[in-house]
Amino acid sequence: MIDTTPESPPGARQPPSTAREQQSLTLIPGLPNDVGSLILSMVPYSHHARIKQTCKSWNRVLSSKPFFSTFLHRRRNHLLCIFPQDPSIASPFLFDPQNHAWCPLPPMPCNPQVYGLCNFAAVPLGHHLYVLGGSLFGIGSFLAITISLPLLPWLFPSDHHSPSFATFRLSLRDFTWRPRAPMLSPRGSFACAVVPRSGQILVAGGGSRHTMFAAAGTRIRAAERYDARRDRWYPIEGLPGFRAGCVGFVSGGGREFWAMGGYGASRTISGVFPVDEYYRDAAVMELDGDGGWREIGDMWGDGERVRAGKIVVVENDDDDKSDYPGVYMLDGDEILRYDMSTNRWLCESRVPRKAPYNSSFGVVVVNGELYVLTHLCIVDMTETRRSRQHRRAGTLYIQIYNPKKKTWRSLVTKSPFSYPIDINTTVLSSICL
Amino acid sequence: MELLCIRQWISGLLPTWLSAWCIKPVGGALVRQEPEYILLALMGSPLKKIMLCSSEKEIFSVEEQVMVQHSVIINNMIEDGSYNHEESKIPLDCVDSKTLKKVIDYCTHHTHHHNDNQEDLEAWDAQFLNVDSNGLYDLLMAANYLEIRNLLDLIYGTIKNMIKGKKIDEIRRIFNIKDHGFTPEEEEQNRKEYPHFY
Repeated sequence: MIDTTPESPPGARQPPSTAREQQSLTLIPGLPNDVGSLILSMVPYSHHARIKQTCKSWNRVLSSKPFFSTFLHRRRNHLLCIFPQDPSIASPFLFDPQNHAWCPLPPMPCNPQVYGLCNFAAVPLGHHLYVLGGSLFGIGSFLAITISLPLLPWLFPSDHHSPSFATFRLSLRDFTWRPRAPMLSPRGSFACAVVPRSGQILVAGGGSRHTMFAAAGTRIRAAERYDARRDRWYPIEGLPGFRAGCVGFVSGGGREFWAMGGYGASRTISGVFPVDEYYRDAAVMELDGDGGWREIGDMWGDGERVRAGKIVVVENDDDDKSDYPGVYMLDGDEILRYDMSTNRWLCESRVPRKAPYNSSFGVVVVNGELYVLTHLCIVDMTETRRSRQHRRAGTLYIQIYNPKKKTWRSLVTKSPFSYPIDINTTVLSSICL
Repeated sequence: MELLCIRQWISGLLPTWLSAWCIKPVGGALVRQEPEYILLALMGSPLKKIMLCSSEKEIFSVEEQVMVQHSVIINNMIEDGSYNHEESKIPLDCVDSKTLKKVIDYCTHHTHHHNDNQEDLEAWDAQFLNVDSNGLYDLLMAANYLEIRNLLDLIYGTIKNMIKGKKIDEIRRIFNIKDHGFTPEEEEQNRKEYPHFY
């Protein structure tokens, strides 16, 4: 419940002459500024972008640091961040599932030398969103790709995309991007996790991988730790094997860093077609001790094939007794849960509605629930001149699974993406403000 | 009114007898009470009234129980004994008569109808807040001063909803924001970038 203890002492009221003098600073004409500020702090975060344009005083107050920190203490806003493509090309968006509100984010600063960033990680830390690494093309390699396209499948460019070092940080208070210290080793598709209550981000493994030419790319073992306050990356002990495409999370009450699944070596079919070799295990690092990695054996049992679906992690909230987060995998339309004690994946549930037209799902955890997303943008072939004037909007279908109650519910919303997006390669993240 | 000075321990022993004779012990002295209080005291539950005085010096009589239940300030005043029922009235210099009447209406309705179902109460509240902005702000300041929590929450919620769903031009009109403070270039830039906000 929102605490609405009045801030002004009883009887204190701004006399009219003072209000007139401070016309330009008045938030709501007719009310003292502390009451106006209190009212603005009750408006959900997703509306801030719009109401900031109402007048300059509202803009100033809503972007100010003290207001924002009071605001964050009063209420929790759980938001979904969607990066449909390279964030320097296509604006990412914030979606507030509670208020069905969309908010565009400014595009990331653009490096003119590179193009087509994908497989980066979007990591929330406090009220900032960090975009780390990724795989990208250089300008020269883009041209090489277009020339080599007709030569598929005989040509697989393995060095036309490269991993990125770059780190950027987006502040959700004033919507600005700032470059941060680059990583020590460039990487995309890596395991990353935030160590709770410490302002540190851990990354391990990764490599470069392009959405079109999957399975051809580099893999690395290196791991590093980022200190947000100092804005520095420190090397930590590398993974036991080369691992990319793995998923990272922190478990055991902040004591262990897991890098689960992923792929290491690749083999070729018919000597030409490269295919990933998926890892059947996970690597765990003890954060308290000497920082060594140990491998947790085969998660799939003898003879079972590895399922390489998207893995997401549900963090425990404060009243959860268990130290270990819930780890879930979405493979096709089935949800599996990882059981730490037996090191096996168990069947948890099935998505009620299959993805239309055989498209796939994206999955992300928001506020302790699994959000399974699919995006549809119907391209109208019979478009007349009249209908082209209306803005085409896509639709986002979200099916939400609550692991505690084991129930599903759904949500449909018009999305601001008027072009078809590939939910497979869309980077999804959630942030709690 | 005759004052009879009797020692306190006697007055402590014989309250009922004394009150039947219209005499009430007050601070060591015995004071004759008005008959209507006696009648109500003998009936069992006294519907004590308190006097509220607006900034325009108009006096409103309202049941003590109603105000005590809603207003933290009035509750504190009565509990710590600074309010004397017979003689004093509570001066509320920050609240004018029209607003005070409305506040009393709200508290009275909610005390007497607190067992009604939620929809009826909400409908009544919506009707109650069907006033212009100035009236709403006056109610807000009065509720703030008197610390009437549920009325405060109600008004904050209403104002918040006035901001939430509206486009910017409408918000400026509703809140009477004449000068938005942006330069013409900034305003034009904003309108071009976010046409759907306006």
